[in-house]
Amino acid sequence: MKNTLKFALTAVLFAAAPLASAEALDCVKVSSAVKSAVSANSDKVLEIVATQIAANESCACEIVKAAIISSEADKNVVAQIVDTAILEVPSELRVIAQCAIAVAPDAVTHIQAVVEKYDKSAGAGYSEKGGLDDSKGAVPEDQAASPNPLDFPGVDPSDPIGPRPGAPGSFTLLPPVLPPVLPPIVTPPTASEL
Amino acid sequence: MNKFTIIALGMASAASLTAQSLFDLAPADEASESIPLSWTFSAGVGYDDNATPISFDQDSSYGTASIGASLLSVAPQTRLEFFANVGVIHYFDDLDIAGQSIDQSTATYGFGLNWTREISERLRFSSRNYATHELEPNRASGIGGLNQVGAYARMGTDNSIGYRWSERLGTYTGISYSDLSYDDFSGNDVEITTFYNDFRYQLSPQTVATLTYRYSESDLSVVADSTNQYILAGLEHRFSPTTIGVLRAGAQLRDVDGGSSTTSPNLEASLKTRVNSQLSLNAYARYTNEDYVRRLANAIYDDAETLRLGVSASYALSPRFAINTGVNYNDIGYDGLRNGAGLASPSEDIFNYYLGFSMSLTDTVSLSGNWSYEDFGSDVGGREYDRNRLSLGVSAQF
Repeated sequence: MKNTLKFALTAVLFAAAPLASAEALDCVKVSSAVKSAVSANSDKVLEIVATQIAANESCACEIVKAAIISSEADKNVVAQIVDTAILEVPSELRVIAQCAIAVAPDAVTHIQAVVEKYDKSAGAGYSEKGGLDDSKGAVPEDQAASPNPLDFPGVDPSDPIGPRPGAPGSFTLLPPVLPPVLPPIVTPPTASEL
Repeated sequence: MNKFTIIALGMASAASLTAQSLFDLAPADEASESIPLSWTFSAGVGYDDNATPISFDQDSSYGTASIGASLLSVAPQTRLEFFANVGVIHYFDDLDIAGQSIDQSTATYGFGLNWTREISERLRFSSRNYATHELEPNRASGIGGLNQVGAYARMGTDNSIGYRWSERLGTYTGISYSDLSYDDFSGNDVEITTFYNDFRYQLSPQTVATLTYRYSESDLSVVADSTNQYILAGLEHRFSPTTIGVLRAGAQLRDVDGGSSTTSPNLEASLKTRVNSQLSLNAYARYTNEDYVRRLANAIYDDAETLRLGVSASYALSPRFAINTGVNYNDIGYDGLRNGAGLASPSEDIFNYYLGFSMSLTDTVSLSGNWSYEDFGSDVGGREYDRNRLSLGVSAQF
C-alpha cells in the first residue's frame, strides 16, 4: 500500500509539473483574441482576419483556424477566410490552406479552389499532396505551422494513412470492438474449467 | 486519387467505425468528411471442423445474420462516430459435451460511440465507449485468454482531457473502465479501472515523444485482485505520408492482493504502411502481465505474462476485388503458482492464420469469404487442439 501511495503521489507530481512551467503562447493569445472578436461580431470575420494577420503574420495558421471555428463558417465562408488570409500573407499560402483543411475538412474542395487560383496567377505547381511543389517556390520549412503535440504527428491533411491532423493521437489503447460477423465458437462452461 | 485508393480509403473508414484492435495502437485511418447514417445487412454460412475444441471434436455447419447501422459526423470542432449491430449465430447440428446438449444459437450485439470535442487549440475532450456480446474474440483484439469459455459480454469507456501546455508539450489525462463477463462461467470475469496521464512532446513535425503513466486496478471474480502501474516511454512517428508507427516500452509494477509484487518489462507497438495503392500492411506487438486468465485447469497463478503479435496484409487485385491475409500469435506464460495442483510455470500459445477475400458485386452489395486456422498448444495435457473454419457471406449497405 505504501508503494502504491508513493507511486500515486509521484504521478500527481508529474502531472502537475507542466502547470508550473507552462509558458504563454503568443499565437494562442492571438487565437483567443480572434475567437472573442469573431464571436462578438461574426459579420466582420473577414476584416478581423485581415487585421489580425497583418499584425501577426507568424500566427496566420492559428488565426485562420480560430476564425473558422468561432464563426462556424460554412464552406463558402471558409473559402473567403482562406482567400483573405492569403491576400494578407501570400508566402503562407500552403500553411493557411493546410490549417483551414484541418478544422474544416468538409470544405477541402473550396479551399483547394482558392489555392489553385493563386497557384495559376503565380505560375506555381500544385502537388497531389495538396501543397505547393517544393521545386517551384515552396514555403520554407521554418515557416510551416507548428504541429499540435496533442495530434498524431504529420502536418499534411492529405496524408493517406493515419488520422487527420486535429484528431487525437494514439493517447491510449483504443477499445477493441469486433467486426459484426465472425466465425463462432461453442464451448460449454465445463470445458473451460478443464 | 485512383480507384484503388478510393476503395482502400472506403474500407479503412468503414473499419474505423467497427473493428478496432491492437493494430490500431497506431491510429486507424480517419475519414475527413461526414458519412450519413447507413445500414448494413449481413448473412453468411460456414463450416467449423472443431466446434467444441479441447478434446471434444465435433464438426458442424453454421449460419450468421446481422443488421447494423453506422454514422460519422465531422465538424470543425466536433467529431462523432456511432455504430450498432445485432445478430445471431446458429449451429445447424446438435452439439453436446459428454451427452449434455448445449445452446446452438447465440445472440450477438455491438454498440460504439466515440466523441471528440476540440474546445480550442489548447483544450480537447475525448470519449470512447463500446459494448458487445459475442462468441469469440478476434485474436487481434487483445483481450481474453487463449482457451474458450463460451459467449461473453464486454463493455468499456475511456474519457480523457487533452491539454496543450506549450508549443511542444501536451498531455492527455483520463480514466478508463472495462468489464468482461462470461454468460455461463464467472471464473474469468474481470473489471479494470485505469487512470492515466500521457505527456506528449513534439520532437519534430513527424515525431512525438511520449511518457505514459497508468495506474490500474483489476477486480477479478475468483482469483485475487491486482494493482498495476505502467511507466512507459515511447515515440509516435510518421516515417512517410504512407507509413506510421508507435512504440511504447517501459516497466510494469504489479502487486497481487495477498501475493507477489513484481516488476516486469512492458511493450506495445504498432506499424501501418501503405506500400502502394494496392497493398497495405499492418503489424502489432504487445507484451504485458495480464489479468484476463490466471486460472489454468485447477491451478491459480498470480502472473500471466502475455505476448501478442500480429501481421496483416490487404491486396486489391482490382477495384472490386481484394484479398486479405494475416497471422496472430499469442503466448501466455503463467507464473506465481498460488494454490491448486498445477505445474509451476506452464505456458500456452495459439497460432492463428487467416486468408479471405471481399468482392463488390454492386455499389451496395459485397461478397466475402474467409478461411481461418488455429493451432492451440499447452503444457497442460488434453488442452491442445487445431481448428479450421470456412465462411462465406454477403452484405448490403444502404
